Amino acid sequence: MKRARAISLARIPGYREALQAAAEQEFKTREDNFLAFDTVISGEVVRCLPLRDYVALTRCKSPFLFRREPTHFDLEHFLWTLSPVTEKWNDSEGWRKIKWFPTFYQFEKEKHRRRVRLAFQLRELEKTLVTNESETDQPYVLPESHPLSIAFEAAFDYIAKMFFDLPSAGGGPESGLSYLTAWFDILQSEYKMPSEEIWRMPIPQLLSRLKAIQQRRNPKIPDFNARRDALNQQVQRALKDPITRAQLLKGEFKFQLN
Amino acid sequence: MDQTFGEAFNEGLGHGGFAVTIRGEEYVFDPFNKANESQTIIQRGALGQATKKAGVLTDRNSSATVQLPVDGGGNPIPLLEGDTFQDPDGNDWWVNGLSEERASGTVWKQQVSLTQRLNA
Repeated sequence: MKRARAISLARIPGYREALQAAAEQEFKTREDNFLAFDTVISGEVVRCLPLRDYVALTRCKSPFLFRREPTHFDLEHFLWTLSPVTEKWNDSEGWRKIKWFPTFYQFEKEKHRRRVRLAFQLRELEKTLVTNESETDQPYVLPESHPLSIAFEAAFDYIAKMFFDLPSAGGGPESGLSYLTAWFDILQSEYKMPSEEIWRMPIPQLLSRLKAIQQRRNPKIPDFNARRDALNQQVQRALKDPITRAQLLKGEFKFQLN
Repeated sequence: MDQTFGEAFNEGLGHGGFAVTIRGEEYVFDPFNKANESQTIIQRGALGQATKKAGVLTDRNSSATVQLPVDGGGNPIPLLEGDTFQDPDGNDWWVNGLSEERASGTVWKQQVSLTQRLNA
């Protein structure tokens, strides 16, 4: 019987360099995530996604979380929910306790909406859509260079960064618990944190802590490293096809690092 | 590359990793850690002192994290006990222990233990 032959990863031309670059990117992303910096999406500042806002976006079925095609209304809502301005109306900030202050909420929201519409040229886009609908039966395709396309891509990148360090999941029996119950239980049993602190915890910090707890409790589970694993996926796919396999072994294959 | 203290603390590049075709699917073993068992042979003199010394390799075992291929629906195609392959050094291996498959995002992995196959 012919035995399976292995290819050393270190001998694939360009792999070491790509691996090094992946490791650097992973380090940077993890550090940024733990520091929970604000991010700028096409000129709009958004906070590092806290658990509370993640749940809010999930309940609203934000397409950015479910990787579905978004509309500009979805983007407006997404940017507003994560805007640092909305923090003023959260309970712990205290502004809500002043009775006349909520009126400013609508004012701030409208100001934000106008700014976003101007930045993403939504008025012009709506006119183009109306013209397109009356003149042709073809659906309008948003150019990649349009500010709205760029913002959509940036929003999806932001979500990918927030979920960079997902703890691994196995095929065990169902717990019968909400993911929130499980997350609160794990964090509070390990760190004795008040619930409010967990609600306000940025998702990247929360997930990386869950991953650290998982690794400490069960050191035998495999390590996952998003960018390095993506490189190995590219190797797997390239080796499946005779043409890309030859390119990979000759050093003609270009590794993609996102 | 400039490396900070933080990067040096717990970040390492995989070692000994390789890709191999098993049952027509591509598996990536990374990292792949060999644990070689050896015995030291000592010939002693009249006073019990070592006069000749040599080592002999008695057995090879290894463990690895395996990145699994997926089917069209994104489901993993796990390794099976009894799967065999040859590593890049030409050693033949037999899969004799497996963990359950675990996923993070679209990536699936399995921990495996292997024993050298000498009758290949």
